[in-house]
Formats: sequence, structure tokens, C-alpha cells
Amino acid sequence: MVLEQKSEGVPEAGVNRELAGLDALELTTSAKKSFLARLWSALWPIGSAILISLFAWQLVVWSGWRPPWVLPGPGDVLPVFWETLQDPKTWDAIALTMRRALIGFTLAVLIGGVIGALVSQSWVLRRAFGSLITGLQTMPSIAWFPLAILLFKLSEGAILFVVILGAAPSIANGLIAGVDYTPPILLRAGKVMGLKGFARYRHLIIPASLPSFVAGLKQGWAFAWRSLMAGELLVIIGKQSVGTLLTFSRDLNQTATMISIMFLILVIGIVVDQLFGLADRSLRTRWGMDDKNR
Amino acid sequence: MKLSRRKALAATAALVIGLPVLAACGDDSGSGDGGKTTVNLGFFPNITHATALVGLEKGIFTEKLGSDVNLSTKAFNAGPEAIEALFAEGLDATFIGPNPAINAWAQSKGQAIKIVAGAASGGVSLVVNPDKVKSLDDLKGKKIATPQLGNTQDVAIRAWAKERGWTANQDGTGDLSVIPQPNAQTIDTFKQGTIDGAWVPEPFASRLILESGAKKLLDEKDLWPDGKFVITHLIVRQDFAKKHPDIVKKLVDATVASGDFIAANPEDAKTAANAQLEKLTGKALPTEIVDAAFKEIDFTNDPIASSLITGAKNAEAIGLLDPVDLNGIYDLTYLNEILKSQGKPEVSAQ
Repeated sequence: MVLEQKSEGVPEAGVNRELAGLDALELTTSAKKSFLARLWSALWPIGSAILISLFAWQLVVWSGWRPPWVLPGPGDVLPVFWETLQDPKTWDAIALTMRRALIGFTLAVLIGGVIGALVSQSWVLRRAFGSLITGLQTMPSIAWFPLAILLFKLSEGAILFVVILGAAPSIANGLIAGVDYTPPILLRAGKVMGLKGFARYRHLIIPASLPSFVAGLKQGWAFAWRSLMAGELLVIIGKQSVGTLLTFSRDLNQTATMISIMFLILVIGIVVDQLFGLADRSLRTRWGMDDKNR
Repeated sequence: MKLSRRKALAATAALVIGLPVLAACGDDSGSGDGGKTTVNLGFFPNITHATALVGLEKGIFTEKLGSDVNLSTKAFNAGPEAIEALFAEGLDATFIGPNPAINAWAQSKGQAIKIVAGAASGGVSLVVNPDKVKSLDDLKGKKIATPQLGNTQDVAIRAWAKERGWTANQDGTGDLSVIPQPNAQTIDTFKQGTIDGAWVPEPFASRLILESGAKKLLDEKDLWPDGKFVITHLIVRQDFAKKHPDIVKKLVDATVASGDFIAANPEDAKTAANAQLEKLTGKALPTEIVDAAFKEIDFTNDPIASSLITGAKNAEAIGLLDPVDLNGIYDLTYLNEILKSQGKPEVSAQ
């Protein structure tokens, strides 16, 4: 999500363009707002959204709908959240979870990428596997767990298996869609220039299908993250992860800790989404589709 | 995507308007059903909960509660999940072990539950695979199952390990690897050899011994003064008790009556408990397992308050509980009224 652009910067940019001449229209504008202004414009929507949510939550608590030990308010949970953040065990758990996420996601990118590339190149494969991949994409990954646990026991393998199954179809589909939408004129140009095999991929198809591929990656990440959380809740193996922290607080009936861990999961999700947002933005800038034109 | 101020306002409005709707939904507990009050009673399919099993099978609860009260029962694997259901107001009363009750008391700052009667003492053992574990010292580095993190046996084994100077961390690491898992699963994992032993209540200890060749390494009784420690007592949700004191009294009455039945007709009680287990799990236990399990347990109305306090100290010592004031966790008024009217000695909350 891109929230930091503000319309106030545009008139100044317009003047610059006028002065610089027509060719400036082709370039992405270099209108710079002060750092503070940009920070403020980035923070106020997020800040107010958080405040509104906290207030809404507090209202529910005040309504007395559930007793405070069942639904503690922000006043009870935020200090616990702060304590949780200072506990080194929490960071060990986050480290393990993120390691699982990264390994699973990387493998999913490799597998999904290869499958996507193969399937997009052959109509036979596409007929055979195209709808299967879409089907797999819509299949809730938690449905794989019973089988995964049978195949890999309660182990890292079971979690990894399901994370990959959750993410790879989206990534493959993103690539296939990207290849489909490669402008024919580029393909013809590539042919004329004699691009073949891997070089054709490296210099033509992949750059052309990047936007759709990045969208696929982003969706793949979302599926990987969901599968991972489901896995860590179901497959409790010795090591402490974010999912086991959630289970432990549930077992000990500590609702405030439980909500703190949920915050943690939410924050990790947002941070990673921002990272994808960065990639997305640099891609748009590269393609000259900068936000200022919207 | 750009967030316009108007849209932001609209979103806020939607949130604020949506709240009362959210708050209004989902409150369906308590009374209803044509003037009848429903009481949701929890228990575990364990022999340590025979008071509940026998009382239900013999119709003691339905009889004592009378025709204007609906009895709805739910079975749980272990205490923490029963407390979860009780917090969510899906349960009004439950038979349960001491540590989850303490935890519920602590988490709610003394507002969620009260202990109203005792039910059983004893019936917990540490059983192990004799090929892998010959003595208590062999336990170092071994994997021992408990019913659920933070349940009574889970606290007991961790506190026991700590007393020996061993670590037994929540995540299963340490000198002793404590692995919480449902009891039914423990039976399988023990057969597969993925665990080396289990600290479990009856009938699971006896099942592991008689079905899978486990050996009893330690009887938890040996750790307690006079061999007495509370394993099962009856707790009620305070809100429910305020609304329906009469029903709580009837529940206590039924608990006492069921305990009396077990004491007077032990053979009958075993058959009844097993019949109830068969209804719950689809499979009756072999007679020798039921016999062995009953032998381990004393059924008593006394909630053995001293062992509850020790249990809380154990949980504090291993970091599963912040220091807590247990004053007022017992409300034995009804129990003592009933015992007195029957000419039996009263019990104490000390």
C-alpha cells in the first residue's frame, strides 16, 4: 500500500517541468518533499488507523460484552506486548519462524518458478496442468496437514511441505499470467534479435512478466505465511516458534499474552508486505508508472 | 491506492456503527429452553473423574438436579482446555485438577471460578519404558509425556525435575524433555517408541503398564504428605453460581452422592464408570485395567486444600504462574451443609 504521496508536491513539480522543457515529461519527476513531510504523510494514516482500532477494541471491552480475563483491553495487553518484545525467547521464536518462512518461500519460488516457466511454454503442459495449478492454489493448505504429518511425522519436513504447497501454485500462476501478457511486439522483437532459450527468458520474458510475477510472489508469500502459522499451531515440535508461543499462551489461559502474539504475527505480516511494496514501487518507477501520475 | 480523508471518515463511521452489532451477537449461554435452566458440566474420560462418570451413568446427577434443570455434559482431555471453555461461558461447572483451577483463579484475579467440592485423591503415576529407563536417574535426557501444558501432571513433573536440579523447559528442551500431548495420543506414541514414558492420570498409567509393558517408576502419592493430594475437584463459574445457587448446591449434592455410591458399591461403580467411558470413547476398558486404576485412587469429598497450595507454589517455582493469593478460591458452604445434614465430618478450606 502506498500512502505517502501527497498532492501538495505536484504544482511545484509542474513548474519544474515547464522550465525543463518537454523531455522532462518522459522522465520520472524528481519533486522532493522534505523528509519530515514525507514521514508525516506516511505515518498519520497508519497512526490514526491504529488509534481507531484500539479505541474500537476498548469500546468492546467497556461494553462489558466479555469479562476482562476473557477479553482484556488495550491497557492490559499493550504492557504485556511490550514485555513479550523484551523477552529474548520471543526473538528466538521469531527467528525460527522467519527461518522456516524464508526457506519455505525460497523453495516455493524455485519450484513455482520452474513449473510456471515450463507450463507457460507448452500448450500440452498448460492444458494438462494449468487448471490443476489453479485448483491447488485455491485448496486451503491446512487440508494438507493430515497427509503431511503422516508422510513426514511431526517434523520440520511436514511444515515445509505444506508451506511450499501453499505458496508454489500462486508463484507459478503469477509467472504464467505474466508470460501470457508479454506484449507480442516484444516477443517479435526478441525473435528478430535472435533471443533463444535461456537468454530469451533472462532478457525478455522475465523482465516483461515481472509485474505479474511480483504480484504472484506477494500472494505466494501470503499463502506461505498462512500455511506456516497453521503448521506451527498443528505441528508442535520441541522448538519454540511463534505458533507454539500462541499455543502455550492458550494452554496457560493467558489471553493478554495470546493477543500480544497475535499482534506480533500481524506486525510481521505488515513489515513483509511493506518489503514487497518496496519491490513493487521500484518496479513501477523502472516502468515509469510512478504513483504521481495517478 | 490513495486514502482520501472522506473515505477515512467513512471507514471510521462504519467501525463505530458496527461495534454494537458485534457486541450484541453471540450471547447464548445460560438459561432458556422452555423455562428449564441448562447447566453445562465438564469432566474428563479418566478414572480419576469416576465421580462424574459413575454419577452420570447411574443417573445421580439428573436425579439430584431435578426435572427443571437440563444437564448437558462435555468431555475434555485435560484442564486447560476445560478452563478455555469455561472462560468462553460454554461451561458452567467442571470436574478438574488443581493447577488449571489455580490458573483460572489467577488469570481472572479471583473472579471466574470457585472450588465447591473435592472428588478424588491420587491416581497419578510416572510410567516408563523399562528397556530405556531403569531408575529415576536414567530419566535425564528422556522424553516424558503429560496431558497438556500447564495441566496438573505437567506442573507436577516439571516441579519434580526442578527439585532434582534438572531443567524442563516449556518448549520441551532441557535435562528432562517434557512433551505435552493428549492422553489417547500418548498410548500410541509410547507404543511407537517416540516417548520414553508418561506422567499421566488413571486409567492411562495402568493402560500403559498392562497394554504396552510400561513399568511404574514413581507413584505421585509418594511425593505428598500422607500420600494425599487433590487430583479432581468440582469448580463452578462464579457468574453461574450467583445466578443459580440452587443448581450449584444440587451439583455438590450429586457429587457427594456419587462418591458415596462408589464407596458403598465399588464393583458396581467400576462397571458404571467403564460403561460411561465406552459411551464417550466407543471402547470399554478391559476389567483388569479398570481394577488397577480404581486401586490407585481415593474418592473423597475433601478437596485437600493444603495440596492445592503446594501445587500453586510448584507452578510458581517453574515459572508457569505468577505469585497468586488463593484466599477465597474455596466455597465449601454447600458441601459442609450437605455433609453436616448427613452427619459426616465437615471439610476445611485450609
